[in-house]
This record gives sequence, C-alpha cells and structure tokens, in this order.
Amino acid sequence: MLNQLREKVNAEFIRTGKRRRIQLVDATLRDAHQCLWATRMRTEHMLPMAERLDALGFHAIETVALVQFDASVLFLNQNPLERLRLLSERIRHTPLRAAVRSNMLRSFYPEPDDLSELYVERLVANGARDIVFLESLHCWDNLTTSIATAKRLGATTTIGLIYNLAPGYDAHFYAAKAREAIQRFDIDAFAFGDAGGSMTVEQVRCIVPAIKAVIGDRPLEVLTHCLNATGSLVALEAAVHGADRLLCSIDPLANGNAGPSAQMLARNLREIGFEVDFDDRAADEIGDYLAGIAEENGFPVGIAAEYDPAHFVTQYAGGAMSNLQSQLQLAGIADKLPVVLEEIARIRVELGSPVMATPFPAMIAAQAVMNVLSGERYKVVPDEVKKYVCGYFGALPLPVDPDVKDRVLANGSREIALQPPVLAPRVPELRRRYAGLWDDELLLRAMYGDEKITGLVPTVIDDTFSVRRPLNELIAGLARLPEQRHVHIAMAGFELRTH
Amino acid sequence: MSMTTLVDVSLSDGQTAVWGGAASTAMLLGTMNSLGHARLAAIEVLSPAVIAQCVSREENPLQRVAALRERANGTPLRATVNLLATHGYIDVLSGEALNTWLRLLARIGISEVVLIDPQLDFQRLDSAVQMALANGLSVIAALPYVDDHEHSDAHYSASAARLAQTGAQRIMLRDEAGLLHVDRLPGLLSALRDGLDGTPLDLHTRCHTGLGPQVALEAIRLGIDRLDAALPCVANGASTPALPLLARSAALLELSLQAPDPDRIKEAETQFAAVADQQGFPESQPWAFDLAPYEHQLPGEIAADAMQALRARGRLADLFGFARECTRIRQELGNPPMLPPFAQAIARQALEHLDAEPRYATLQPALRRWLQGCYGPIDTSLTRLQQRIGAVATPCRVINLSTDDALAALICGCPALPPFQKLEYEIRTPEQALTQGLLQRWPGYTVLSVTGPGLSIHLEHSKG
Repeated sequence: MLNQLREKVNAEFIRTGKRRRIQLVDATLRDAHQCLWATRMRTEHMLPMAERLDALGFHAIETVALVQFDASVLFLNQNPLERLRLLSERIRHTPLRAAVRSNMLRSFYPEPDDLSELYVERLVANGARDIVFLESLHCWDNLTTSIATAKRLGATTTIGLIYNLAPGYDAHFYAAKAREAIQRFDIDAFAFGDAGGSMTVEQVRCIVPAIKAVIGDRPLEVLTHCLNATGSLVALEAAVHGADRLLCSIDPLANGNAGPSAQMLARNLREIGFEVDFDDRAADEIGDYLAGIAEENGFPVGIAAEYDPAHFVTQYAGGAMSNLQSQLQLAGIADKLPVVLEEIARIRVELGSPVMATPFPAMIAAQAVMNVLSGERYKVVPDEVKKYVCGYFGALPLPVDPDVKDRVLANGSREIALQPPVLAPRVPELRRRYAGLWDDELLLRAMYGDEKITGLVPTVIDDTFSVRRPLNELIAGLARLPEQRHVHIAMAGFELRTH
Repeated sequence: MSMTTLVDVSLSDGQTAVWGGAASTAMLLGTMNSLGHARLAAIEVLSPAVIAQCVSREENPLQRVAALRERANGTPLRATVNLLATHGYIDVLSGEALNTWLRLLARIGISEVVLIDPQLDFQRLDSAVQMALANGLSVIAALPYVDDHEHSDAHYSASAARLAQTGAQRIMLRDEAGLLHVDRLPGLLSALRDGLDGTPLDLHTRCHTGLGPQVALEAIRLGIDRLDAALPCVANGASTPALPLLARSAALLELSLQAPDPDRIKEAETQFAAVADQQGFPESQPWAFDLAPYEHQLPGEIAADAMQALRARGRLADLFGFARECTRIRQELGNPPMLPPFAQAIARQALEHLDAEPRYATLQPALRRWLQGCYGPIDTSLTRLQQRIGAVATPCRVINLSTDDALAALICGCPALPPFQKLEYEIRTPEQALTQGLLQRWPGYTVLSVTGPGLSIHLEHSKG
C-alpha cells in the first residue's frame, strides 16, 4: 500500500513538475474534544497550549461552533466569545476558524437573517478569520446572509459538503453543490466532510476528484472521523486524490470518535511524497499536555476503533455518539445504547436518510430514545422531528416514509404549524430590550437567556504550559498538615513561613 | 463455494501479541473448556513463541498441549513449527530432529501442524511435509506474505503451486505483519487459487494497520477456506481479528461463514478476560492506521515491542526513521525474511542504530549467524562486517540425538524440559480476592477492619 501511494504521488509530481503541499487544519480545540470529551474542554485548558499550537504549522485552527457555544454556556459557565477572543490574543499567526450551522443558533429552529448576521459579526469581531458554513441539507439559501456577512467583514469563507451514505449523494451531487456555491457566493474554499466516519476509500477516490474538477484552484479540505478503522486511511487517500487540506487533531485527542491524528498524518503524508509544514515533536509535547488534562479530569483519550461494518448502517457522528453515551449514562439507561443505535439506523431511513451531521443526529437520537423508552414507535415525537418533516429546515433529501409521516404529524405537537412561518427580524427588539449592552452579550442573552449569561464566570488566565500546578499542590499539601507544624520554605523569589 | 471456518489462536498468537505471552498453562484451562465446545475448525495451542514463554517460566510446553487436549472436546489442536529456530541452540530444524519433534507433537495431542520455512526452501519443506504426514499429522504449509514489488501475484501463484506439490493438505497465506488490504486481496487470492488447483487455502492476518478485520471479511467473501481469529481480549493490534466480530459481521453482510457457537465463545471470552483482569494483563486495543508497517514489515509481537520501545524513548516521531533503518539493515544483510529468527534481531539492531552511532557497533546474534552463512549462502553488502566476525567451521550445527527428551529440550531451547507441574488456577471474585489478601496479611496486624457499602470485615487476634 505504501508503495502504491508513493507511486501515485510521484506520478503527479512527474506530471505537474511540483510536489504538492498538504496543509493540516487543527480540530483539537473544537471537534476533537466535542467527539471525545463531550465538548468539556475549558478555556483554561486551551490558553496554555495556544501559542504552541500557533507555532506548529497548521493552516488554520478551529475554535468554536454552536456545540461549543452550548457546552461553554450551559455546562461550563464560560463565555464562548471570550474564549475566541483570548485564543486570538495568543494565536496571532494561524487563522482561527469558527463555524456557522445553517441559519440556526442555539436551537434546531432556523433564526431570522439579522440574528445570523449578528452571530457572524461577533465571531469575526472576536478574532475568527475563517468562517466555515455547514448546512446539512445542502440548502444554500439558508446560508445566504451569513456568507455575505463574512465576506463583507473580510473573513475567508469555507463551505461544507457533507458526506452521506444514501442514494443520490454521489460525486455528481457534490460537484453540483460545489458549482452552485461558487456561482452564488464565490466561496473561497470547500470542506468535504464525513461526520459519521462512514466514508470509504472507494468513495473518496471518486468524489474528491469530482469536486476538485469543479472548484479548480480553490482549496479542498477533507475531514473524516475514525469511528471505524479506516478514517485515517480515507484522509490519506483524499490527499492523494486531490485534497489540499486535512482536518485533524493532536494525538491523544484523536482517533476513536474523533478525527485522524495530526502527527500520524504529517509523517505519513511526508512519507508518500507530499510537502508538509508541521512540527511533529512540538505536537507530541502538546499531546503530553492533553494527556495530562485527560488524566486530571477523568476524560478519555482517543483509542483507535475496531473495523466494524455495522457502523456503515448506523452512520452516527463522533461528537453525537459521545454526547448520546453521556446522556444515556446520566439517564441511567447506558445499557440501552445498542438498542438505541439500532433504532437510530431504522429511523434515519424512515425519515429520508438525512445527512448525519448536526442537527440531525441529535434529532434522530432523541426520537430513538423516545421510541425505546415509550415502547411504541413515534408515540412521542420531539418538536424538531415534526418541524423537519414539515420542511422547516428546508427541502428534504429524500421523501419521508408515508406511514411514519402520518404518525409524526398525528402525534407531534399541535402548536407546530404544518407550514413553516416567515421569520421576523429579532435584533431591533433585542437592542431595545438590552439597550446599552455590547453586542457579544446581547447575542448570548438572545441565545441562552439572561440567567445563564449573568451567571457566566470569567476565565482565570494562567498560561503555564503544564497540568501540574506545583505551587497550588504545595499549598494544598501544607493545608492538610496539622496546625501546630512549623514550615519554612525558601527559594529564589519565594518564601513561605507558617507558625 | 464451501463455507469459511474459523481457527482460534487466542492461546498462542493472541496472548503472545497482546499479553506478551504472560499466560501460564494453568490460566488457559478454563478458557479451553469453553473453546473446546465452540465447534471451531481447530485451536492453535503451540508455537515457537509459546514454547519460549513456557520455558522462561519453567513450564513444560508439552504438558501444556496435553492439558489442553484433555479439555479440547475433540477439537483438532494445531501447532506451528518454524524450521528456523529462534533460540540459538540450533539453526535449522530438519532431518531426524524434526521427525522426532513431529512424532512427539502427534503423540501428545497435536493433530495439525503449520510448517513455516521463512526462507521458503521448498526442498526443506518437501521433507518436512512428508515427515509430518508420516507421523499422522495434518499438514498446513505456510506461504509468508511480503509487500513489495518482487513478490507479485505470479510469484505467489508459483509458490503456492510448489507448496501444494509438497503434499501439504492445506496452504496458509501468512500475513504476520498485517500488510494485506482489500485492494490487494482479490488479485492475490485469485492467483493463489490458480496455483493451488483445489488445495484448501487458509489465511492468517494481523491488525497492525487496523485493517485486519476488513481484510478477513473480504477474504471470507472471496471464499477463503479457513481464517485465524482470536477472542476479543487478545485480538486486534499486533494480533489477529476478533472472532465474535467476524461472526457477527459475516452474518450482517450475509457472508458464507460457519460461525462457532456464540455462547461458548462468549463464555471463553469472559473466562479469558477475567484472567487478564485478575493478572493485570494489558487490555487489547486496536491500533490506529499508519503506513509505517509497510516500511518495516515487522511481524506480530515484534512490531508491538518495537512500537513500545519507540514510545518509551519518546521517539514516535521517528517511526519512519526506524522503519527505514529496518529496511536498510535487511537490504545490507541480503534480505533475510522478516520473520523469526531474523525479524526481532533486525528490529533490535535498528533500535541500536537509532540510539547511537556507529552502525553495527554491536551485532545481534541471529544476524551474526546469518552473516556467517548458517542459513545458506547470502548476498550481502556488509562484507567488511562479515570479515570482522569471521566464518564458522561448520555452518550447520550438529544435533546429537541421545533421547527424545534431550532432543525435545534442545528444540525448545533449554538444557532439559521442566517436569510436569500441578496445574491450578482459580478466578476469584473481588470479594474473594479481598478476603484472601486480608487473610494473608492479618498475622502482621492486631486488628484489620474493612467496611464499605454492604461490606464489613473485622479481623482481630483473640487475646491469650
């Protein structure tokens, strides 16, 4: 295999007269901990490694998407825009990337254009220089405003083409969608992504050249997940077949539910003949730091997955899998995971095989959990499922099973109209309500309500590149000593005496 | 097309690759009770690595075979025999020594042997196959898989044809470095079938790149006759694919596999995993994909040891540097096969070169014997090194056959085979383990008290 890949890269070198440079894009601060740590990496964990990440040679560093907004605010009591700003103060060379999810914000429900515009504005104002747009139904209409805003503000625009193992999602489909994005938005770059790790080598060999043929010199990035054993090989094959960039993360926050390891990709890409600017050894140092955070907080590190063809039936995204496991555990029904996964596969087909990317994995998982818990399928219908069936999110990829559609419409909330309403602007009302508040806070209050945002805790800034805090540990240790002990510690610049 | 059957290698290659061969004979017995009733095509119980592990623990490897046979419920037991020994007491196992060893294996309960000649010396294999057949053994001739330009489909086809001519009843493609992939498999298996002319074809593959299960399933689809697999706790990584995964996936993909009894396999897994838990053996984990195995081509546990050595040195970033050094050493030596006894020596030599210059400041013993021509004439570029170490008077060591026992000891690489021991092993519940630990320690204490949810143990010496 090594020789075959080398031969292909070398053939390109002979044909073009130049050795292609493959760029790596970092997902450690965004997708990787979303997939492996249920998005629980804190800003304090990120700041100490920020400058080192900046120096590794990544083309871009992903920082926040809406899942990071949710986790920061709802679970970590942290301000995601503060995170972005603090990172941008430390990462000065590598462009920071933020993601836009369709025309949605916190909920699955589409938001009016003025709020989408404000969201993109605040991302850029806080340091994002590369905005990636993800639209699971590939309805570019949903992205018109946010792309225009990003372009107006001078950010690089990257649009996602999301892989789907379903009829109709072939090389022709993705090529057509790429062409449409160029014609409508003059988009800067493309990211062909596989959230569920179900893309095969054969498909990448077919789809990547087809997209590349349409987009020409515009860069094509490929992202895959390693829920199956083939994720990393798929990424390498994508590079061989024309991809310019690969999304990855620092091992040990790679593999398993997450994407390929940056260190592995760098050394393998070089070995088959590509140019790669990446400091492998410095990445290993960050890897040690991440392993320390994992150990200190009881987080798992990425473990390579076993090849399992059953995975191609479920197609469940890495981050969604991690969150589902966590939620079932919290509900005390962790043992139901296999049954829920089977139900997910069945529901997906019944609902017309939507792309298993946000928000649909969570939507289908919610329906699956309800089907399993209630004992009767579609007896309880989440609001998002009814909205999806009614076309609130855009045109559906394939028709919904008629019987299922009947049950969803019958048992779903009657408050959800069969026809999606026209979305009225929200920002004017927000500005009246929050007069005097700066836009970051206004946006966050619009998304999460006053109580959560008032309760956010500012980040404690400490850039020490270590999970060990010797001074803290020393003081904590001394505090445990009996009171009558006399302790005197003296060292350069530090003296401590207790009586 | 006949159904593919499965052979379990948990007790040999599986525990060697994942646990470093740490399972004693007594630890295997409970698992064998279940495996023996699982309707497997065969169970592998002995290999050169297992023999070395037994000897290092002063266990008699033949006792292991006998004890496992008692619990095998008639399932055929398999042994692998490498015609090139790894321990250094002998170089090439042939002639009467090999005949005696095969006789001993048959007598103790082995019914199938996999004959491996890393150099694929067909004359040696002709003789070895005939001896094995004469001793009543079913014979599987191994065809080592190498991933390079020289080893084309035509080469494999011709080699398979020649191996079939030896009289072996089955041919086994052995991919001990886990290099096969689904692009390579269809053409290769077709070429092998052409050469074999009806002789059954088996596959032994590993999971160094994580692709082993995919390769195994593709092989089933293509009609491989037999496939090696292991229980999940000793599968993946440097080991073979996991047996339950193959059975489950074959059913899902509607592939033609004669699956073993799932309940018995589950029992065996539970038992073997409990041993690992009690003994603190490493957990089996799949390895992440990497192209480096295609460069170094190190087999099984030797690749695992090399990865561990690089990790311990903090030099995983030099993985390809190490792999290229393996290739360079191999080429300089005149291409010894990347199998025991040479593979481990090449890996160690490469690590030495990576650690410090000058290259070949020291030389691994197996490579020294190779350079001295003990395995036949070679074409090496290391002529100065060859001159430095000098030739040996008689390249093939003479084996004095006094008794079968003495010969068996020599073949196993020890002065004398250890006596048979009493085999006892008990899986304890956590409560039993706690109680036993406390009882062992409490003479040293006046009072020992343990309390926990639903648990209260109080030990106190009676006064007077």
